[in-house]
Amino acid sequence: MFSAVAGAVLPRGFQREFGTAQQDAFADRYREVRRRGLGPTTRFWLLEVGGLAATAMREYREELRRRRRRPERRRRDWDPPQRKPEMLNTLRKDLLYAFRMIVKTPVVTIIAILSVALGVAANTTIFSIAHSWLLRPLPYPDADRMVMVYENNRNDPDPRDLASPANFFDWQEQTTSFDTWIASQFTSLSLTGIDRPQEMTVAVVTPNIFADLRADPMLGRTFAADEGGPEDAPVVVLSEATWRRQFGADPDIVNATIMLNGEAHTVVGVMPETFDFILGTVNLWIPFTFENQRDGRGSRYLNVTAWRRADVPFQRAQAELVALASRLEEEHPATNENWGVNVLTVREQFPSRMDIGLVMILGVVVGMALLIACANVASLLLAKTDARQKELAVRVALGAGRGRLVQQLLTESVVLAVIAGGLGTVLSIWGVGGLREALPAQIPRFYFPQLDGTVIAFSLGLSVLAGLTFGITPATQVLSADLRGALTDSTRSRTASKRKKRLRSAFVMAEFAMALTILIAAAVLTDMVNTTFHIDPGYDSSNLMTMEVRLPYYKYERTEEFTQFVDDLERELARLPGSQGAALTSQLPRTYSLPTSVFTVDGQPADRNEEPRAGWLSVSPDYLGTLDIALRAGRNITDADRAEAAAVVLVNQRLVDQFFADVDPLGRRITIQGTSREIVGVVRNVAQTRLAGFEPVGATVYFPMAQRLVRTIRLAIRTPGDPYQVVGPVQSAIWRVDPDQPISAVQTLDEFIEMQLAGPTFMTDLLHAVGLLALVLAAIGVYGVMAYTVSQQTNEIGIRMALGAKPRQVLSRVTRQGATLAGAGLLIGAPIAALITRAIVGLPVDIPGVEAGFGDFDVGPVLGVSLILAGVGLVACVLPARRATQIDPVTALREE
Amino acid sequence: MVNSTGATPDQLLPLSIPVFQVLISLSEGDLHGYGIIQDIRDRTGDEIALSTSTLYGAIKRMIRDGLIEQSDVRPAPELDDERRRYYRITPFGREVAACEARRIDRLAEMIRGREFQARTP
Repeated sequence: MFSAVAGAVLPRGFQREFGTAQQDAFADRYREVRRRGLGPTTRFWLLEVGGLAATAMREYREELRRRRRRPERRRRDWDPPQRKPEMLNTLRKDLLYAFRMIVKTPVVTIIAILSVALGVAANTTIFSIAHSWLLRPLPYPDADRMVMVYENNRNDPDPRDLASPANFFDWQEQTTSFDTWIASQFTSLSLTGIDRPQEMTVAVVTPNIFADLRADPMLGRTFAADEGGPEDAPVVVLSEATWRRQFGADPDIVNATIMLNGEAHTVVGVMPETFDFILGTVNLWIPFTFENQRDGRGSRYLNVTAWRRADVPFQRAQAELVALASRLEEEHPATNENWGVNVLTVREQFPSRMDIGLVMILGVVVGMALLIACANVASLLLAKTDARQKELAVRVALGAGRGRLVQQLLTESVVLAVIAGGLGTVLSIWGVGGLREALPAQIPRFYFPQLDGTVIAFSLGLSVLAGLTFGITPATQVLSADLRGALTDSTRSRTASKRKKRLRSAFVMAEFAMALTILIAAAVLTDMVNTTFHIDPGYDSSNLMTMEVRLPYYKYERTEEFTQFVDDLERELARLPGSQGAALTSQLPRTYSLPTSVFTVDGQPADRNEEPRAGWLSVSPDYLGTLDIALRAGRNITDADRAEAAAVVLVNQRLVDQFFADVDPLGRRITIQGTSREIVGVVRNVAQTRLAGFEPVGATVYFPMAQRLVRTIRLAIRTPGDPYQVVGPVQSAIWRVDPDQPISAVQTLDEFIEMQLAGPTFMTDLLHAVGLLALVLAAIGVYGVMAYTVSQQTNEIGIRMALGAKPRQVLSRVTRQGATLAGAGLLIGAPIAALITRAIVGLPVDIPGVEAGFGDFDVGPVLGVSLILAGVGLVACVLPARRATQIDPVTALREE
Repeated sequence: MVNSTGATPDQLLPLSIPVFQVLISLSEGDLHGYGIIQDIRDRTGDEIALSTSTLYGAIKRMIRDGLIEQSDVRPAPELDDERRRYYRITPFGREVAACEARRIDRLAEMIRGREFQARTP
């Protein structure tokens, strides 16, 4: 494909000399990058396309220069040439003339500029993601040597498990392939002693982190290499955002003391906004060596980052760690059995294959939209060039070379395209802004797309390319056109040649094919998002206020303290004015994913190779009632299910279907998290995870909160009216229980759900916009071509009608011509559309526990979209056809 | 030394990045197009990646300017692929590369010890 494009773009001489050699080199390089993955392949394509454009322009310029030099040599005796000024003059003249022509035909200009601008804007927006995710160099030193090291439990589908301190120290000390290691633990602490207690996201990190990332503070200092031992005075480094928001950008913050979880910490520095660690954005950093947890091998909570040595290739470093992990597995079977290691390059850490897939699909789609726009503008310009044949003929007669005319016409196209590109860039501010809104906040800010120099350059470069694309066909028409004929034939010179007619028809077919593809992609993606939005979720999310409290370690250590808090809170909530029910839960519906645990059905032999897992949540007795979730069988959790009472559990319908298909589950027991529990009730399946609707509902269990305490508690309060009215009273209720308790994530359940689905929704909106654009552009294209064809046939139609043809016959004749084109386009587009749909449906979904893709290919959207397009095509044909029939035959004949 | 159009090495300076890199690659021995791209990438640690179009654009101009020529000498037949064309640096090309290197050296000399010299971590 590349060689075909190169063949079309590069001058013939260049092709003859280097074509084959270049193709071979290209093929070799392509084979190589394909092996290295998606990122390098994308970069390779961009590089090749950019290089091709630049080289093509350069070669043409040289070619033109050479051609112009030849006749001059002949003229030299009588006209001493002044090469340089002449060239500049030509360009200036061309530009001026181009502007004049553009202003002279405002309708053509506006249509052309608008359609190309929209196409460019869509492409720029998608490119900005590709740029920030795949191409932009990472802001870390030696990022190519940086790796993330995870443990990996072979029974658990999520391959990124955190590491235990003991394993971390063993990796660090018993391998030779790495020269630097960073461990970090993410946690949250309560910041108190300010107006309202606040929840802070904290990274507890080995003290070398800033030095090894070569990051300098904007205020104060970072950590000393040996800071963070258990005996050291507690210190903290703030992020710029926290410094600004919580401390009003206090310039004297360094050496101030702040209270975190009741403990005084000295602020030693502030990191600038540009510092952003790959694992996520945090409020503050606390140094810790983890030395006193050296022996902890069983609990895993460390994120591990390392740099391999420059002289060790990735595979060898990875192999060394894998070997060490299996050694540790043998030495420590109690904690390490079934635990391997998983080494990811920093580029594999983010984005996921699904994200990349989605961006690639969008890229193809917006590329097609731009091509449609180009095809439209090309056929507009083609008609315009026809109309200008006389003018061009005059110029040839006055001595202009044909190359000169081509250059002039191309200049016009490029000027048009650059104006459109400027407008497109401005429009993409909206697109990129929307993207930034739609990305989840946990993604490091570094990965947020920006309209930076590279993206703008891409946008403008693409415009020029678009200008050349839609300009080349009309411009080169001049080369073959019979211009002298145009001048001498004083009657009608605008009869389109067969070739031009064929070209125009080809444009229309291509437009229909591409519009079909885009619309189908849009329809399929919409369908997917709608499935998720409109499935019966199993709960009523309206008028529900939610918020979150995280009980800090320093105050809540023992079971009694937890129980006390939960009991007090429930009692306070029960008295809440203006509430129709209040509940506590460990997870809200549509959460990213549920934590899972292995379980066994009591009395059934356990299979060690395939341990069943269930997602779990811990809920208060009012949970099902407050969210309006139906109980299918048995009883609900009650106040009597306390810690000291018999252990019970509710299970969802899915778990029953999977494990108690033929028996009554009530009264049976399962052992989960070390406790044997009696199943007392069955709950209907609900949309518990973010992508429920795409992915099947998993087996789920509900613990009574009193029997399974959790540190992060979410509140859900049902209100009769505006949910926000209840916020104040709920906060007071919480603070009556514990005045130092921070409250976060205050939002309604609907808002929470909307936020969880923001990404897919935005993508669909974008696709809709592009789809609509494609539809409009394709319609304009067909209309334009048909209208033109009809106007060419005015004379013929007049004769036919004078000879007695009925309007209906004329109408059907013209419509048939258009319908043939549209039908052919749809036929060509159908297989392409099917491919795209397959790609979308087959997107790898990397949610733990879900292996299937998005579901089955649905023929509905394809039919629907084809019908819509056919309808649009029909209207675009019928309008000009009707006009043709209304022509008075006499007038039509007189036209001649 | 001058080339066929009578240009002296100094008239061709400064060299564009692709041209200079291709000269460096060929100074070690004859290579074909893909080999040149590979060599430049390996040598610069991926910092300079040429597209095939840029490469052959540069090769075309370099042949015109007499910096390189197509090579008739082929490596051992079992290593060779019939279709591939190898390129060789000309004596004039060597001279030009040396001049460019001296020019860059002088430039580096000018900024040595100044404040804006790149900080090495």
